[in-house]
Amino acid sequence: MPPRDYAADKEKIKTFLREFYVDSEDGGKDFVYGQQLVKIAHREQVALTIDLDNIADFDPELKEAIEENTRRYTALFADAIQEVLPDYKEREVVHKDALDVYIEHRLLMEQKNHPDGQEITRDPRNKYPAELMRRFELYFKAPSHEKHQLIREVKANCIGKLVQVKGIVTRTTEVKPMMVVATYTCDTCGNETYQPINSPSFMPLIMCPSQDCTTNRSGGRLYLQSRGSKFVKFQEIKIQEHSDQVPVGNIPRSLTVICRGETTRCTLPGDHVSITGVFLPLMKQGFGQVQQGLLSETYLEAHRIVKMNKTEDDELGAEELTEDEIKQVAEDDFYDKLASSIAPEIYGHEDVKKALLLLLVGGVDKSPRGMKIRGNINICLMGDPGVAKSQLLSYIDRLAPRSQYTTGRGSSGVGLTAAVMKDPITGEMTLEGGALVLADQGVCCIDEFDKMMEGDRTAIHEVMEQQTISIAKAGIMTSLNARVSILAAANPAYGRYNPKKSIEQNIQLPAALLSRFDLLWLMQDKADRENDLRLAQHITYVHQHNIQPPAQFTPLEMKLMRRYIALCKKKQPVIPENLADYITGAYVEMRKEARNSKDTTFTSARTLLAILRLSTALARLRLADAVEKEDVNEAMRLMEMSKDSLNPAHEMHNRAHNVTDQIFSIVREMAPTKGLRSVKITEVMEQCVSKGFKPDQVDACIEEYEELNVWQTNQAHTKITFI
Amino acid sequence: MPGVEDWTTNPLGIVQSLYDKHGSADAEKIKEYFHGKTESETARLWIPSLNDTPLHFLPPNSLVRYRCMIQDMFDPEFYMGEYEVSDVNTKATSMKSGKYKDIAECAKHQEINTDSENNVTMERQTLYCVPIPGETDWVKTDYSDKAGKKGFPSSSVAPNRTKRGLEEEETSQPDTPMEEESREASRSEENKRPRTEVVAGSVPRTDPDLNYPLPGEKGLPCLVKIYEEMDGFAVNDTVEFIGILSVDPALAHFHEENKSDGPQSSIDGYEEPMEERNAHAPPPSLVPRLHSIIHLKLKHNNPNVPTEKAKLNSDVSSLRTEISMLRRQILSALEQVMLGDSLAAEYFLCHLISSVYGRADVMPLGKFSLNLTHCPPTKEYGQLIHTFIQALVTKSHFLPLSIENMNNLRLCPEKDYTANRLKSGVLQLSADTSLIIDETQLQPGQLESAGVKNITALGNLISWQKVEYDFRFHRQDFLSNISVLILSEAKSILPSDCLVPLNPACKIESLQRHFSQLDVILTPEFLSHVRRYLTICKLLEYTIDDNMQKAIQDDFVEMRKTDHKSMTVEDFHTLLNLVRLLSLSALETSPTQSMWEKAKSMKSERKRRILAVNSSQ
Repeated sequence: MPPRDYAADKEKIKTFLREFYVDSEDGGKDFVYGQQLVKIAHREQVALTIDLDNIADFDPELKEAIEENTRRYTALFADAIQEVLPDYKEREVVHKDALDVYIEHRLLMEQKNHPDGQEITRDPRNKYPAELMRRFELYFKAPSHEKHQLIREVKANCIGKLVQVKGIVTRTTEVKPMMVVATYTCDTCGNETYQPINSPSFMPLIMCPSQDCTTNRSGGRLYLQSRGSKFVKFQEIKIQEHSDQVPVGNIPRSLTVICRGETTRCTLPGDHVSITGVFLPLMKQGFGQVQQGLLSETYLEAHRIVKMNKTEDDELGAEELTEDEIKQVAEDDFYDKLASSIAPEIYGHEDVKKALLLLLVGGVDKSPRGMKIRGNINICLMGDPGVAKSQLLSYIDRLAPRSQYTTGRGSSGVGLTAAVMKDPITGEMTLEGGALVLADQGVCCIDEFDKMMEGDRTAIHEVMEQQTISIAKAGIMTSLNARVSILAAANPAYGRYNPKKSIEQNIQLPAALLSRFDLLWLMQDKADRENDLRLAQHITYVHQHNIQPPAQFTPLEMKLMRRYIALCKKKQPVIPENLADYITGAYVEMRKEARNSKDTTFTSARTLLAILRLSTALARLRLADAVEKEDVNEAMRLMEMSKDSLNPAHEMHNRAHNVTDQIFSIVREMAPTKGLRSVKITEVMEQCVSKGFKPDQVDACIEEYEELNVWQTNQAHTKITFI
Repeated sequence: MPGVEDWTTNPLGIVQSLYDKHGSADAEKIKEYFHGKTESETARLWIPSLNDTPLHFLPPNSLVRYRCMIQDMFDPEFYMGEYEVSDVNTKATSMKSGKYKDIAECAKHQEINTDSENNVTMERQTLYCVPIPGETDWVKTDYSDKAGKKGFPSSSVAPNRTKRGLEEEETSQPDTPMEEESREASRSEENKRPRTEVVAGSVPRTDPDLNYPLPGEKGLPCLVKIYEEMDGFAVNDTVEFIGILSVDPALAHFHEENKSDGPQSSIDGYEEPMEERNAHAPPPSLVPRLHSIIHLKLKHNNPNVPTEKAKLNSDVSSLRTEISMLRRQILSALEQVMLGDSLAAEYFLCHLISSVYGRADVMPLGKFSLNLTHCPPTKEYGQLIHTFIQALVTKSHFLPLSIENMNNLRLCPEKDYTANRLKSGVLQLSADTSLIIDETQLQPGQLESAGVKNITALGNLISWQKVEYDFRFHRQDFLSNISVLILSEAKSILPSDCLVPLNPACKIESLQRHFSQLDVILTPEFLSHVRRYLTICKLLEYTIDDNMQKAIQDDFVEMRKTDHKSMTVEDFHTLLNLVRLLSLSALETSPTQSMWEKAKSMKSERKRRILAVNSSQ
């Protein structure tokens, strides 16, 4: 490859700076860089960031060249700007600092010293080092479509190139001034000497090189003048790669980043940052270099530092799902598929998993007239010891982008809510958030919920409905946000769930707290031949092959799930007017039923809200903008199933005359008592599904009773008529 | 062609000559050459080992072996892979290979052209390695005996760090105040973790923290530089490196010298903090550098079990012929240790050969942590058991679970960002280490937050076989494979896979005397047999054939039918695991019906015992 013609490139750069524009919104031309250059000329702006996207539009080849050899082009750009800058000067510049005045004076003196002669024809600025006169800083911004490189992929072949990395800041030094140009004066002749500095250390000049001193051999000594030297802000930071970029069993790598000028003071330790910079070897001089032997240290010279907060970071991961991924997710049975992808190693419990999926997606927050109605779904899992409650919790903890896992008892002094701590050094009071506060806008998984401390239990009332935590301790009165979904797991009080007792007695939690859970599940370990066999096969397979058995479906990847859920969360589905009646009707029905049967659970206004939350979550899951009837039905089915799981006695009693009989009794109730006793099948279906039956069960029931000549169906199979 | 002596004593010369012959592109040639030389085990034994040869016996830049665990990984470093030297007199230039060395060197009459365009920058990675933590004494002596037969003068010398020679030079340098400060820092660090000093007859002095996972460890840590497969290594791997030793004292303190370098004024900020320098460039007399040419990942560190597959198979078949006899003998010894409890002895044997063989998602398979309850509540018993286990297994550690220990020990490693390294913790152990936790030492008391964290860490280790390393900004799970034995008076506060109440057959008056009876059985010959047996059991492959699988499944369903409370999913996991271990302990690679029955009866016997114990309380 022939060496590039840098002089030509410089001309090209000048044209680019002068002529590049984007179409502005009002149809005119927007000279992005021209405008900035005007500001720079008037000392109103310091940093000029060149977007490589723009260069690519202008000349793709130039962009490549810049990426390959960034350092060189930074200098070229700076020279070019310096040359074109006087053209942009429109008025007299106000001096900003001592150096401005100093430069001004030098320029004036130069003109005074050589009022005539050949000196005047030359640009007076040329005598001084360019770095001294330059009052702006130049940075490049990497093309937006380019992906971040992994820190561990920044290797020797990247030296000199523009790289873009992501990481977490682990260490920052103080910002110190760093000398760029050293200015000396001679004690004999008074001449000034300048020395540009490009490396971390330099050898100060001692002898005066001016014509006066050299010809006279007066041996003038030079003295460093800090007022006339130019300094830039300088900071060194260290970044470490994100935990998800580290291969299993490896230690995260780190990278030294050097910030100058405007890129300093951008970050603090612990920040997630994206950094564009030039990867350079560190030059050591003199003796150090010999000692250093074969090694050269490297660093990244920062051009652009962007602080990412955690959510932004997540969004970056949640770029548009690709077509393949959408295909993977959006199949007909995507709801089942997503649900069974939750904790695939735990066998069964499909409905619980569905509920957990909805918890992750969450309902829509509403605040009509200032009253806040939470959209977060709270779920409590109860059950005998050893039914994988804790595994489900820890899986959700891993899957949710933001979550806290704690046990009711195991939390420390800070506890679940918040604590006021006294700083040992300053004596200041500080607030320290507990698990619930830390999990704000996420999921808080609380294991052993029943063993929680009394104090936390009262605080959790507020969290679960108002989604805040109020604190009045040690003179601090405040309210912290705790917009969390609570996923709790509790063990029955007597070791095993006693179906003859009510839930409060079983869990020993007040009803007020229990009613705040949208769904309560009782997970029981029941003996059932078919299930047991499948379980046994599952476990032996795992032991034999070290992996989960190949299921009918392959569980979706956690990352994909996370992204899909993030996508779902962006939707804000509404409940259409016409569904309102349907929901109220269903609610009235549930209340009636709760009154009639001796229900151990509660059906209150909170139940209605729960149904709304669940149905909006379902709509979100479909990425729909409005809730549909099916969503409400599914929400009610889940509700019903969770109730069923809590009323095993009631279930056993009913199961005595099996599913078909139950459906039959529903149909019988639906039929009008007078006149033609007929019901529409669609209505039957709706009723039954909302009560937790499957459509094929209903069909089977209809068929069976038709054979028994209890009822007849019409030709089109739309109506049932009792005989 | 260089002879044997040459490739062990002057490997760099060979590298250079190979480089001259084949040029830069052929890094493979160097590896091939040394591979060829070290193919047979006997040839490998010719190479002196850093583990059992004192450093001052080893000439610099010679080929050495080093058996170790990777404790930390540093950032990659960039070095001149090829550099140009020019003759001062003739100005003739030539290229040199910069691989496998720390310092660019050239002959007297030459100088290095650091700015030459022909120089090539390459990268390599540094691993901080420590001798395998918890490696038992017999492993060390057996390894050195094996090498010692080849006539190395140092085989009888206990492995310790002798470093007077270089040290004198070091301390004679005027200490700058900065250096003093850093020593201060490392001293305070050391107070936290007591370490026995090995330097004989010298005043106690502070060294840089050498970062051993276990307190009281000795042996030489090493900075191993690797040139290829940089992502192929993981923390806590046990590896044997063969490479070139580099102990040039110039490596240690060049930063300080740079400082005192007269008229140079340097701008701070580019410099690394003092702690980091001490951690990353410790004096080579304490932490030598090793440039790895060949590495062998060790599946086990038993010197008596061959690494080659073919040899291993013949060993297994020879062991099979005497298995029933051997197993009986071992069980009778174990019974003695379990105070005459034969059921506990069976479980103990299963525990000793357990090892995580796979993971289904997060669930580790094959672990078998044992909780022996109703142990005699004396300090002695735990220690006696530990001594006994030490004589059998290759890696072990004894951890008394006292309030003080829990509050003060660092169990989980954590990243120290000032020194930029991973500070090791007790749980940073390599695979197949036996950890014995003595809960009988636990007294009621206040557990501080560090203690709570440590207890949780132990719990996580036992149930999930993972250790959470603290990177301050996030935590990261590292998988582990450590078999845990818990001795307690009643059910332990830690979880376990299998709880066995000890049922001593006879009244023991003196534990010491009781254990001393074991010495008769434990002849060196018998011990070496058992050691081989235990390691081989862990290496065997295991499968369940279809018929057996079906039988087991049906049995499970049947058991659930009669009383589903007595057979939970967890129980089934444990039972399958037990039958696997029982089969392996008989050197069978698949279970039989009788094994299954035996496992079941062992399980019900154990359950009965637990019930009896609970009801008696």
